[in-house]
Formats: sequence, C-alpha cells, structure tokens
Amino acid sequence: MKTIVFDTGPIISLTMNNLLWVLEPLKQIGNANFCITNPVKKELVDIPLNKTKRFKFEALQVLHYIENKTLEIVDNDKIKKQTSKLLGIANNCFKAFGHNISIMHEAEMSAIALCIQKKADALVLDERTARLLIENPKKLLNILKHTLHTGVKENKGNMKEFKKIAKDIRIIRSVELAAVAYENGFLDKYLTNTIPYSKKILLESVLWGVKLNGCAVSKREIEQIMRIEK
Amino acid sequence: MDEIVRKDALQILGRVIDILKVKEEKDATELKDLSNHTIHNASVFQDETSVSIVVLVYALSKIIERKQNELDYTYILKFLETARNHLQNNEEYNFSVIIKKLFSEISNIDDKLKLYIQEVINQAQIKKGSQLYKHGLSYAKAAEILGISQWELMGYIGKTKLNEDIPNIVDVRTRLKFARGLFS
Repeated sequence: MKTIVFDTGPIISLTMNNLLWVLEPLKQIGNANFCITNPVKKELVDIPLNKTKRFKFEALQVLHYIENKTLEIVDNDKIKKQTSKLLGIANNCFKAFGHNISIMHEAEMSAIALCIQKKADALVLDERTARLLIENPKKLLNILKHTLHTGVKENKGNMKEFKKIAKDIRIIRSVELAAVAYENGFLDKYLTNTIPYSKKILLESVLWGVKLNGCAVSKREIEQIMRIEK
Repeated sequence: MDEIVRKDALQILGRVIDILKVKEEKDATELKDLSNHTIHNASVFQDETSVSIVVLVYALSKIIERKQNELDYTYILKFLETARNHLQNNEEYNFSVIIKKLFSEISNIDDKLKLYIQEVINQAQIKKGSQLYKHGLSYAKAAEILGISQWELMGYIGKTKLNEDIPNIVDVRTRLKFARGLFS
C-alpha cells in the first residue's frame, strides 16, 4: 500500500473548488493511505474553527474527511523531533541584516518529517517555498536576494543538509491531482451536451480553479497540461 | 528589540507623522508608497513592531483613501506621537497597545466606519502576507506572522501573478507522469 502525505495547501485548493471528494476515488485507485500531521490539521481545521469567522464551513468539510478516515492523522514523538530538526535547518539557511530568516512553518516541516518517517511515495505540496527548498534551494536564495533588495547570505552547510535529508521526496501538486481525477473520469458528471468542447472547458476550469486558490502553478504550466491532455 | 528594527520603525513613524501634519489629497498615495518600503524588516525580523507598522501604514492609506473627510488627523497624530515616544523609550509592549487602541478609536467614530476599518485591517494583513510570500517565506509562515489563516492568504495570492515566475525545477510533464503512476 502506498503512502501519500498532504501539506495544508492542496487540501485548501481542493476544498475551495468543491473537489475534496475526489480524494476518496483517488485513494481507492491509488491503493494509498492519505496522511496529514497534527500541525497541518491545526491550519486546516482548528484555526478556522476557533480563531476566525471565515472558512468555518470549509474547515468542517475537511474535518468530515478526517473523521471518515480518508485523511489519516499521523502523530508521534519521532515526527515532532524530526520536525523541530528540519525547522532548525530550514530557518537557518538564509541570513539578512545578520539575522536568520525564518522562511518555513511547523506545518510544512511536519509534512516533510512524516514523508521521511513513512518513506512516503509522494508529498502533495502546493507551496512554492518548501518545494524549492527540497528541489533546488539555490533558486530560493535567488528569490530572497532579488526581492529583499539586500545582501542575503546562505548557509551552504544547512542547505546541503536539508537537501540530503529530503532527497527522496517526490512532490506533486493539487493541479496534478485534478488532472489525474479528470483523466480517470471522476469529473465526468460535470460534462454537458449543451456547450461545445465541454471536456476541454471542464479540465481548464479545474486547473485554473486550483491555481486561483493558491496552487503554485503558472499559466504556462496549465497550458502545457491542456496540451498534454488533448 | 533589534536596534535596526527600532531605528527604521522610528523613521517610518516620523514620516507618517509628517505626512499627516497637513491634510492633502496625496496623503493616501504617499502612505501606500511608504508601506511598500516597510515590508523588508517584517520579512527578515518578523517581529511584532515591524509587522504592526507595516499593517498600520497600509491600513491608514486605505482608510484615508476612502474616508479622508471624516477623519480627524489631530486625533490620529496624538496616538502616533505617543507610539513614537514609546518606541524611543524602547517600550515595545506600550507601543503595541497604543497601535491597537488607535484602530479601535478610529473604528468607534461611527458604526459604519467600524465595519469598514475592520475589513481594511484584515485586507492589509492579507496584502502584506502576500508580500512576505513574494519575499520567499512560505504560505503558512507568512500567514502566521500576519495573524491570518492560510485559507485567506492562499485565496488572495492565487489571484495575483506571484506564482507565475517560479523557477521550474521539475518539468510539468514529468510531475504529471509521476502522479499518473501513483494512481494507476
């Protein structure tokens, strides 16, 4: 059985598009466990339910899929320890004004820690910063240098160590999940004969839907997926 | 408090006070420009003072943009000068209390304004959260610093162009192929 770990972002993108339900058929055809950590659950459910008036209903929708075990919460001391170690490394990779820049949050790092512990098959991550830190931290350094308009020093040792720890993690985004759901016909109930090219419109709508709700995918990449799916 | 943060915050507050000394049409624009220059410390130091200054300057610019005629600048200036004194004396806690009080007092001018100002502050937090993301911080980290939920921040950033220029490390075709493999 596969293990697929979810960060906060993809669950938010799917929920905001009324697509959270696709997790159930995806889980079935993938023969996979879908896992989240407690800090991710806190971002998804606890904060909107307890701290704000907004997104309470969305939080309840996510809670439903936690309670019916589509999303399984995994929590143990090893993950907490690894999360803290990863946070320490990630947030000491870059320095400006003689000060380490804390770029990452506990939730993202706990998802990575869980991936490592479970030797997960994939991490579903919509977020740019964590993705770059895993796949190419130098590109993240360029973003910091370019946007902060000040000298940013890198801690090469920490960057290398993070990359080494996370080297086996393979990342997909909610946009790829949406494309796979489309390919497998899970979205066919939305097809209609009353408008031309309804298949194309359906695919375009879900890809743009997740992008507009925060999945870090560019317009060019969406166009590329559209061409691939033709 | 870091000395860089304190000095910058004092400089920015001084600039805001200068702008508000005379009521002019250009006040909102000047404050908005100023707010764009205040975000860098918030990105790096992530301290309460830098963050509240950023939100304050941007929110003031929006309030003045829409409600300039209804606002009594002398009233606002009184709070800002007190805030500046607290910063000068390194009284971080008192500074944060007076900033919160400033927004609450402006909101109490009338009930309609109260709703508007709450919305403006929330929008300022989201807007500035998106700038932290632009500077390289993660969604969750930016949301945590501004005290907003990731739900709000992602919805806002998704509608900007901030995710257009991300370096493409793994080709989308490869990622999609991998995803297909997972679910077959």
